[in-house]
Amino acid sequence: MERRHALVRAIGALTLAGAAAAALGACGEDDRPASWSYIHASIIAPNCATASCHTKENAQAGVQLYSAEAAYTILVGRACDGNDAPGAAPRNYVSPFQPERSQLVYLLLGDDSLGQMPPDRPLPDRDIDLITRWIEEGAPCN
Amino acid sequence: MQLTIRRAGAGLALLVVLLAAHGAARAYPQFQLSTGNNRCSVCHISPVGGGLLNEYGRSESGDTISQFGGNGAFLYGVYDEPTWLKLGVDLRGAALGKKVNDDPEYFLFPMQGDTYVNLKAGSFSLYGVVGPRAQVRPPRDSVLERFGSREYWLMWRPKSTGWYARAGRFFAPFGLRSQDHTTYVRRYLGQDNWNETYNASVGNVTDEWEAHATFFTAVPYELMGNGPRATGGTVYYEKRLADNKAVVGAQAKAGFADTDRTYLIGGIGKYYLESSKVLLMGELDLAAQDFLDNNGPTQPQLAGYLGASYWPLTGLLVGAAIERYDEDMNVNKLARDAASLNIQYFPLAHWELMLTGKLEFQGAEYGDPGSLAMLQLHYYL
Repeated sequence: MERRHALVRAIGALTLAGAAAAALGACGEDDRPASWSYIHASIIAPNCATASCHTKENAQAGVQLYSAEAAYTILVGRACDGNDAPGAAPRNYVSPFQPERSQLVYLLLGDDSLGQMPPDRPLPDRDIDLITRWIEEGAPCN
Repeated sequence: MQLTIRRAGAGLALLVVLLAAHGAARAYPQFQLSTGNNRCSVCHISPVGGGLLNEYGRSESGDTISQFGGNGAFLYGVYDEPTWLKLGVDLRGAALGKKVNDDPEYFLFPMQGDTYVNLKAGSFSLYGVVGPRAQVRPPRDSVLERFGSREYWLMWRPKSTGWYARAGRFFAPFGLRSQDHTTYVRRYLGQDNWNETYNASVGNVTDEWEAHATFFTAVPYELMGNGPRATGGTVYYEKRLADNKAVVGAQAKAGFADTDRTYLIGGIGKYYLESSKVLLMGELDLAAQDFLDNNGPTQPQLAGYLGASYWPLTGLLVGAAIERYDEDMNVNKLARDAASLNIQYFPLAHWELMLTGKLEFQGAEYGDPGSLAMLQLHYYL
C-alpha cells in the first residue's frame, strides 16, 4: 500500500509539473516582425533545414534552406542583395506581394495537389500567417 | 547449429549494412537506475553514454536487458578483440505509417548503419563512427554519397571514473540524451540527427554525481548535415540520490550565431520506483532567443518532456511520454504537443524490436492530431 502511495505521489507531482509547464504557454498576440532574417532564424532554419531535409548537402528537391541568403535566392528567385525584378522564383515558390500565387504558402498549408511541408510536422498557423504577411509586404530580404 | 544461426545473423547484418542508412545511435536513458546501473558510462565507452558499448555493457545487454539472455559480445565472442580495440556495428530498419492531414503515408526504410571503432593507448582513446545518413523518403543521393561521420573524438581519461577531457565531434552532454532524435527536447534544442557540434569538453564522473562543461562551435564546413550554426558553451550537472533510485540534473547553454543568440537553463529528473518497476523521467528547459540588429523581439521558449517506463518482465519495456515545445511563449497558439507510446522488446542480446505510436498537436488544437506509427528492428554486432 505504501509503495502504491509513493507511485501515486510521484505521478501526481510529475503531472503537476507538466501542467505547470504547459500553463507557461502564455497568451499574447503575434507582434513578430515579418522580416526575412527573423523568419529564417526562428521558423525556416529549425523546421526545414534539418539534417535529412533542406541542408546544403542534403537539399531535398534541390532546395537548400540552411543559410538565409541561399534560402532567399531559392524561394524568391533573386539574390538577397540583387536588383533584378522579383517574381522569378524557381517553381514560383514565392511571388512577392502575391501569397495566393506563391507555391510556398500552398506547401505550408498542405494543399492536396502539392503535399505538406514540413511533411512530418506542419508549421503552426501563426507561423504560416507570418510568412504570408512577409510575402504580402513584398518578400523583402530584410 | 547455434554457430550456423550466428553466422546467418552476422551475414544478414553485413548485407543490411550495405543497404542501411544512418539514424539515431544513442543511449537509452531508461536503462539508467532501472537496470541497477547508476550512470551511463558504466555500459558505454563515452563518458556520457550513447554509442559503442564497453564489455560490461555488452554483457548487461544479455544478462539484464534481454528476455532470453545471450552473448552480447562483439560477434558473439567468435572474435576476441584485443584490449586496445573495440568494434561495433548498429543496424536498424523501420516501417513507418503516418497521417498529417487526411492522407496516410507509408514508408519502409533503412534507418541506421553505423560502424564504430575505438582505439585505446594508455589514458587516451580515439573514437569514431561512420555510416550513411538516413532518409525516410527516396534519397536524392546514393548511399555512398550519404556516408559520413557524425561523431569522432579524442579522449584523455585515466580511469573509468574521475576527470576526463574530450575533443572532437559529438553532442555536448546535455538533457536526458534520449535515443529518439524526434523528442522535442532534442530536435528543437540543437540535438537532432547529424547536429553534432565540434567540441572541447571536460568533466568529472563519479558514482554519486557527474559534471560536464563543453565549448562548442558549428560544423566548420557545410557537409553531412550542417548542424546548429551557433558557437557557445554548455554546462551539465547530475546528482544521484536516494540510494541510486533518483537523479536530478541542472543545465545551462548559451549559443551565439550570426543572426541570433540563445540562452537556456533547464533541468532533468529521474525516479525509479523499484517495487513497481517504473522509471519516471522528465526534462524542462526554458530558453530566450534574442535576435540581433533589432530583427525581432526576444522569444521566450519552452521545451518539456515527461515520461514513464515500465518493465513488466525482463526484456519488455513499455513507455509513455508527453512533450511540449513552444517556440515563442509570447504568442498564442505556437506550441506543439505530443503524446507517445513505446513498446520495446529485447528477446536476445543483439536484438531489439520497437513499436512506437505518437500523436502530435499543433497550436494547442487537440481535435485533429497528426499521427505516426513506427516499427523498428534493431540489431547490433
